[in-house]
Amino acid sequence: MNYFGLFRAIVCVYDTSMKHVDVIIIGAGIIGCAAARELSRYQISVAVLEKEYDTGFGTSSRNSGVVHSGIHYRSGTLRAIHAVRGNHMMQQLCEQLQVPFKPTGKLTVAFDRSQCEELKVLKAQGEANGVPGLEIIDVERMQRLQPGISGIQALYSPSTAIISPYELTIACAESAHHNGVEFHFGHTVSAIDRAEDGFIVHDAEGLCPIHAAIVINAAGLYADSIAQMAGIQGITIYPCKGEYYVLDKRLGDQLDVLIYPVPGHHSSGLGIHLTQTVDGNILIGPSTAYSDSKEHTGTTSEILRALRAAGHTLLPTLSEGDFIRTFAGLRPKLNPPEVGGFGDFILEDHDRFILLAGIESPGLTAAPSLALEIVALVRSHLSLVEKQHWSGTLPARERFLELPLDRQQQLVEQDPDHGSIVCRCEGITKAEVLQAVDRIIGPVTYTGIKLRCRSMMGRCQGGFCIPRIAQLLEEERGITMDQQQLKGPGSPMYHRHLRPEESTS
Amino acid sequence: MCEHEVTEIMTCIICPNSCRIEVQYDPQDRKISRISFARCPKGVQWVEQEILHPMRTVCTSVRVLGGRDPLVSVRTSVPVPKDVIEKLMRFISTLQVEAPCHIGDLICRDPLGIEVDLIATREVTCRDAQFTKAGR
Amino acid sequence: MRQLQHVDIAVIGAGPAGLAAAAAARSAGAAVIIIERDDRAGGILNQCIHDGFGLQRFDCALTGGEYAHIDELACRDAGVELLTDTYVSSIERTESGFALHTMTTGLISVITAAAVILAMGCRERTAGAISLPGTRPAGIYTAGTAQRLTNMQNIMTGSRFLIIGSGDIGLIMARRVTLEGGSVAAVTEIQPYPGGLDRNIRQCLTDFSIPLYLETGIVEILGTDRVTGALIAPVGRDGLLDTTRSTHIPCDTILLSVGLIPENELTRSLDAVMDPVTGGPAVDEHLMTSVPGLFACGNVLQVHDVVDLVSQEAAHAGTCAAAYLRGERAEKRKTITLQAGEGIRYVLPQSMSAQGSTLLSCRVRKPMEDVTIQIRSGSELIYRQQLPYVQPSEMIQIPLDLSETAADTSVEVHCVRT
Repeated sequence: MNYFGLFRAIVCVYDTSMKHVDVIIIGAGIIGCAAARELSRYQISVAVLEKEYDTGFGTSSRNSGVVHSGIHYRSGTLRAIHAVRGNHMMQQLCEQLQVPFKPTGKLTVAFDRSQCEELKVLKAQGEANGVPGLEIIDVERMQRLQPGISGIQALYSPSTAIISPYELTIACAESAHHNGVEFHFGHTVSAIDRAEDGFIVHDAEGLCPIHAAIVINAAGLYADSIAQMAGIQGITIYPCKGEYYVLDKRLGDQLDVLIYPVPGHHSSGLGIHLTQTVDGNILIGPSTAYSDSKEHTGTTSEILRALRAAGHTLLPTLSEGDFIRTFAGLRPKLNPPEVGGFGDFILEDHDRFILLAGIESPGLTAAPSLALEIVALVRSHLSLVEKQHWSGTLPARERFLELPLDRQQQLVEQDPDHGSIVCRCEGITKAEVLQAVDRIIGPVTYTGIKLRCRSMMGRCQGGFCIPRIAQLLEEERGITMDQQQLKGPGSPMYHRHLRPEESTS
Repeated sequence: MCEHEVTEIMTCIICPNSCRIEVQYDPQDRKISRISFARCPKGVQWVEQEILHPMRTVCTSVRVLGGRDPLVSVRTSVPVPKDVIEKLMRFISTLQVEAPCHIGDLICRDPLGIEVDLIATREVTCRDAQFTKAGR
Repeated sequence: MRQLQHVDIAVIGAGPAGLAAAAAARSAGAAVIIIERDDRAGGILNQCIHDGFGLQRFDCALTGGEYAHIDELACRDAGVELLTDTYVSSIERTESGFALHTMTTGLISVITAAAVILAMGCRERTAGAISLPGTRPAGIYTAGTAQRLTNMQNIMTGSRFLIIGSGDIGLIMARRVTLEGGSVAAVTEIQPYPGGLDRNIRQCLTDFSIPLYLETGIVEILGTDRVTGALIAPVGRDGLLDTTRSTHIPCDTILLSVGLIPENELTRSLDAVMDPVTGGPAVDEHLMTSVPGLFACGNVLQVHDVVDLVSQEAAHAGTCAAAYLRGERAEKRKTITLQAGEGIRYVLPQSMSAQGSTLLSCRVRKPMEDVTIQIRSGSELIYRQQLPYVQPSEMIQIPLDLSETAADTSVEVHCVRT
């Protein structure tokens, strides 16, 4: 605990006189981090408060990672506007932040005549929203795009893409941090008082109240309780769970394009489907089931069974050994279970309290666009002057095994740690793991390392590399075994030393 | 037949035949009344010993100082009675030895006074030795 | 610098299979190199500090380290070159054999070899692989990972354990953590029979009064930050867990011992024909895969239960690889395919060229008493053996001579009640 105790002490050093920042962002998910990065362009002080011990530990790391085109949303809604604009911005943002972006396109497939009619409606809606390149295509074209595909007709949306949602979140935070934004992790907001010229935001431990001129509520699943703290009634977030399977990379090259069924009218998700990831895995899911808990991201045997069955239907070559992990995410829904479907995003300015709520799908796609909108709202209260030396790009993060041999050779000569493999399944080197450790803004955790370099994400799920990471953290970064945590304080990886540690006498 | 008597099927571990030997005995008095289906006398002996005074080789680890590994694995030189294992483990948990260790090294002579030694079962080189590996 | 090194035979993996294969190939005259990703030879045996290895081969119960040491010394004495801390990042076929791209600290190099023996072993099935429902807090480990942490790295993973699956490593770890002051609430097994050897049930569970719940599965893992427990339930009539009879087991650590998967990513990259049941490549009686010059042995080929048999199989692969290099392997005159029949899960080798005899390995589907193993070619009975008891956790090996069997036939192995 010492390590984390120390961390908190550093964060709360300004205890005596109240700290002031211009803008507080509550929540370090993709919305909070994208907004933080946009705001970091200006000569204002910004602090991000996050109850978890890293960025993107909630819904932002627990979704399909699809950059949607914008065909599914009613014209004129915030979802439609920001999905289409966000989609348009995404590739450039990913290039700046060195986040993998893969333009796959998407087929929404009709299996009968009534669904073909639906495709026409979707196409018209998409075109009204400004989605580029939409085409209704026949079986022959479908087969060319994805051999073996079933269905009788499809709507092809070429602007659909895939990204790594957690890498984007982390990279936005990192970019914001490089440009002066502070991040306070393990910081649960417990009360918000309106004060002269803004707000006083209190934390659960009562250690460091912070004064801010503007508060941005990007708390995702907790947007309702944060809104209530600021005196805004009438918002309720209903968590709606989506469970997934992750499949072995062996199958990754079987999908060339995203394939979705035509969604039902009242469905609260887009249907169970296969989604490839930028790293070459395939996801099966997500399911759709309202949940009582905003924290419980456990999977359930009934739904996993249904996903497995769906997987075998959608991917005939799938074998039992190809399922490597399950996970679940919670959609922050505004519509209660009895209504279902999707509500529109809420983005409102309540006299310097900027409320975002119900940012479920396509929230990831919309994030860059919503961030611009947030900046516009902030600008109406604060004068925003650009910094002279803002840098929106991050250095390249190379995956050693994917590099050409010459470059590998060069890297190994620079740093011998590049030649040492820590994670055999994903082929991650010691140098890459240490780079991931050093990139973490908050406390070092195993999940933080995993999301930054993919170690522990492969088919053996850390069986091989966890012992090596334990040793690496201790020997190379001085984080002893008893300080090593899975995802923050309270999640110790290990219990104790088997035999007493060597005394340094 | 005594009222406490039980029948147990024990798979013999003496050889790969893996005879499934049936034994009838009283666990309270530790008295065997019948042994059947053993295909050799060794199996009968083994069952008798398992029921009357079971013995185990204890395998565990001892803290090693100055080694490339923090632990050297050890075993008892011969099997020990099951009821001394706890005492032995308590003793071993505080034991420390210096690197290097070689397989077969005597780690501790007869710690319990029952003529059983602790023997190293892993090579542990000195910590500094890793830098003097033969070049490739 | 990129170094180029040429050898007759490159062995990938210095576990028991790799060591035995290398020693045999070297003593048959080939120049052999072993490439090992860990910092020492021995593979998984290094973390197996318990005894029971070598009962068949040496007639005494050695620990894993002692067993591996014998083979390592044999390799060293025979003049086998051992490269540790070296990872084979990819492998490709060349005109004269294979090129292996390797990485080690500070060095990338290429090793070319006329033949390759795959001895990479296997990995453990994970929580995701068995679709373990519930949350993913800290404190969930595969048994082998916990074994490495405990026995090699001085780290106790928890204090109160639930072990899911009754594979041998799980049983061994139940004893290990109990000896070290931890407690094991239970071992659960979804099948109606244990996955591990009887010896281990007796010495690791019975000795310490650890309950083994057969036909029991996990309803849910509990805990958000660290494991706090699990809900377990018996398998009901419909084959699904009967959640109305679920029990809460408090624990802070879950160990998984739910099977092993041969580690064949390199094998697949060479497009070798795979056997979906063993998870390893299909081989002939020389343990050669469908790729000429590519041999496989040990757990990469089929998951073994006893290391002695791994060594035996690997030595055969080493000898055959050396013979292949000398061109002694005659053209296949005829091909016989071997298939699993009634009651048999798999048979290895998958094919034979009938150049004499082979040692056939197979496993049964479920435990049975008083059975006859029959090997048939069409209606002809080639071999029969009565066995008092068979179970899936114990591999059955049969010396088989098929030189009288006709070409292009299929031979089936059956296990039927006597």
